[in-house]
Amino acid sequence: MEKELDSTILGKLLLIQSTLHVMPDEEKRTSFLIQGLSRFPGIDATAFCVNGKCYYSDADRFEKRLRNCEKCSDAPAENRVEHNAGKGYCPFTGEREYRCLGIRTSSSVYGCCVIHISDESAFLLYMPFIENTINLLALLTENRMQHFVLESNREALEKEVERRTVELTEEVVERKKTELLLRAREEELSERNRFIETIINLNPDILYIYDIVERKNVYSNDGVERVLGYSTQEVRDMGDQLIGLLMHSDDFQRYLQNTLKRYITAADGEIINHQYRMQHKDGNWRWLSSREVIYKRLIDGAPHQILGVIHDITDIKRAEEMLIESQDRIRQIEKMQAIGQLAGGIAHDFNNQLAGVVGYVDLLRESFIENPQIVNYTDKILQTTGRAADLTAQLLAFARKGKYLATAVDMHRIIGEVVGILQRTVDKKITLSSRLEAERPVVSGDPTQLQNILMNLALNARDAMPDGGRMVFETVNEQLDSGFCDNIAFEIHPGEYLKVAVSDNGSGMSDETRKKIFEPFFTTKQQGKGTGMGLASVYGAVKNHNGAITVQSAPGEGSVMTVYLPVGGILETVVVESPERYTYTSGGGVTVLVVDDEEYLLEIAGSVLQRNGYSILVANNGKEAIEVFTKAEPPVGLVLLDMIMPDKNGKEVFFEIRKQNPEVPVLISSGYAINDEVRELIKSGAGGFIQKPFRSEELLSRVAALLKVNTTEKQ
Amino acid sequence: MAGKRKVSLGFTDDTVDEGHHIIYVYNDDYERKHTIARFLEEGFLEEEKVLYLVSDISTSEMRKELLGLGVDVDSRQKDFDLTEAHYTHCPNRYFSGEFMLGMVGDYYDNAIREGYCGARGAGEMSWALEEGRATVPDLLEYEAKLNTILHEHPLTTVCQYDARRFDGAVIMDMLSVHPMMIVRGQVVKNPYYVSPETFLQEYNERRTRQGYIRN
Repeated sequence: MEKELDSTILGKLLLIQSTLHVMPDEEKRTSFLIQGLSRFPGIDATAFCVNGKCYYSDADRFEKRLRNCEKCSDAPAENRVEHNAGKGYCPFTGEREYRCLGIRTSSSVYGCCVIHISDESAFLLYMPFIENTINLLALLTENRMQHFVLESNREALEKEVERRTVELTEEVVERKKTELLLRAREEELSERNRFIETIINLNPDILYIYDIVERKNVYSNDGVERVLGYSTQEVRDMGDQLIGLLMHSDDFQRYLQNTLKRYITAADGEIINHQYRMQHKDGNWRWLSSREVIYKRLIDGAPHQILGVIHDITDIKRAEEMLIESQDRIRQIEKMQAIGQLAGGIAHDFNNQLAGVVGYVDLLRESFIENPQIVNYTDKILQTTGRAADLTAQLLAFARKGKYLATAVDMHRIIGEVVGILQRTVDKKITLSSRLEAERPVVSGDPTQLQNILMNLALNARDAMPDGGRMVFETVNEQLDSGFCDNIAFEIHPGEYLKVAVSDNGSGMSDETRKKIFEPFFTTKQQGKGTGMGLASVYGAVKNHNGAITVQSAPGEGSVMTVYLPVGGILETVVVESPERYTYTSGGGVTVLVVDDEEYLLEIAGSVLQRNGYSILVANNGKEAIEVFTKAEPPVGLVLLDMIMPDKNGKEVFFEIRKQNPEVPVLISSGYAINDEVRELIKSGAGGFIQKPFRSEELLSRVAALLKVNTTEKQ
Repeated sequence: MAGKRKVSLGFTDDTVDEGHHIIYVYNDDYERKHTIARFLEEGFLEEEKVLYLVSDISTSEMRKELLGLGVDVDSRQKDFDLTEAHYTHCPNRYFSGEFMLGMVGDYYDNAIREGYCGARGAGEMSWALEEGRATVPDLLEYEAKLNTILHEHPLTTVCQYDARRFDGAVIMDMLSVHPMMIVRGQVVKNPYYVSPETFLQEYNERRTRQGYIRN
């Protein structure tokens, strides 16, 4: 009778199989399975040989029989188990009660299971299930091994991943460090750029890069707006028109001819300086100074771009111009002063010489009064010397040696008188007009000199219009400030002035002429047509009145002569008695002391006075004059006193004489016109002044007037 | 004795008679903890007194883990006893089967007296692997006798054996003394189970014959 399968036994196998899955390793699984199988029907004991290691349920029964295993010998060489390892644990199949089952999967053999059979029929009934369970062990072992492989691979992979992660982390950290470093450097660079940009833009000068090939501005800082009024964008927008648009045409030519050539020949680092004018956006011209270097070159070495700094030197240029003008002005003043001094000296000496001529001619005429021919000749000589005296008078006026009077003068009245004279005398092709708009036309001065000023200016205008034209007299009151006063070649002070302008639309004059017109004897007229003393005397007279004169003129554009005279001021009135003319009959024996360093004048004056009844004492220097005066018996009744003498001059002599006799009349004589020194003596009691050269009648008349003797009539 | 009460184990929909002695062979702590957590939680739901004998970790750690697994042991402190396994198994440092068997019976009886419907317990058996704590025969003997105690004092019991730490042969022997077994989350009858008397007789004979059992 065939035995039936017991479900409990099958359940045990299933439980074993389920539990085998829970067992973590080969050893525990094998141990568990040995114990499980040992309790099966027909099985007495069990041993396992797995991967070279033996497990058994009954050591005593297996130890003597485990010698060889054919099943294991069938295993592929790579999976074959070395059964000889250990104490001969490999099972021996020669005995019938033993069965050896292979522990194998479809691909591998892991060992064998040796079973001691107690009931073969019972065993054989369950053997397929037991083989199945044993093979499960093989599968689990294989899975486990694969798991180990996977684990080991996973571990290796994880280690690799870990290593790579570390590497990547280090790389990332390094990259981040690099990025941070780069960012820090960028920020530092950016900060540095901002710093440089700020400094560049704080610079008041223009910093620029200019492309001389494209002729365009490549870069400029904010200085361009400060210096030229244009924004950097506006400058860039000008493109290649930049220099042509802004640079002064005169300087542009120089730039093209000189500066561009210097770029071509300049070495690297060589500084190229040039100065030029550019027009500010507001229309004004600015003087600029450039310092440039070659910044970039083309492949062939030719200059491409220049880097430069433009400094605004307008103020420096203006100061230089003002300095030059000031120096010119000072030179002009010094020149005119020198000329004046020279002219005055010449006029003085010349007057003295003329005085000799006139005196001797007068004596000659007197000696031959009955000879009409001699009288005629002497009169001609006296006329000529009179004109010569006029000339020296003008020289003296230029030299400011002839201010006779300081009184309130209405310049409108003077202008009216001058215009009246001109209307009668100048060519009718010249029209005369006046625009007298000054509300305060009164100045302090000598009316004769002031009239002379206007007359000379008018005659100069007339001569500039030989073919006719228009002459205009204008007045206006003007407040002159220090700026004006400091920039004019006259020593005037800020205040209200009467501005008198005489203008014409004649030929005008060049700058060169304009600068010389006030110099004595300078004339553009034909020889014999002018003395060159007209405007010189105007100059002297204007200075004499603490005024100034300016000239605006250009060839073909006429001229405007403008006289500035201070309005009002302290009227310094010096009463100079008008020369009273006396007809002398007899000196009455009055002793006259004639003092002069010129012997011939002593002789002439002495002769004239002696012939007319005066007793004469003479002295040819101041010291002698005082001695003679002191010792004179009878005392001196009048002194004819020259001003300019060696040792003691006229002034010193005058005061010493006045100490001795305050009442004695003193008639001052001089080759100079009346001046401040003479005016002081007159204030101090001097009786009067007679300017050399003088005629005999004039001398006698002035002496008689002082002595109040034999006066016949007052003229 | 009246018919035994059917109890739910929590981790499976099946119900079993109270007082079963179940072996849980595991190699996955995560799975085990989830299974045991549901088992204990179900005990609270069934108004049972619950005992847990911990071996691998401390009681405070176990309390935290149970809380983390959703078992509100804090609110059931009165119903829940958590103690270290070797204290109960080894009153004098060495394992005492007699003491333990007495403790199991008393625990159940006290629970009933306190009004609980029943009692259940689970224990980690790793304490037995500590050197000098217990021998396998003593343990097998205890486990076999426990079946008899549980028959009279039906405390539903789960013994947890770590397959990674216990020898396979020992586990096979332990299967012989547990009538129920947890396999893949299900509780099944153990075909290897033999009655305590039979097991003890066969076991003693085998011990006499072999003289060696791997531990």
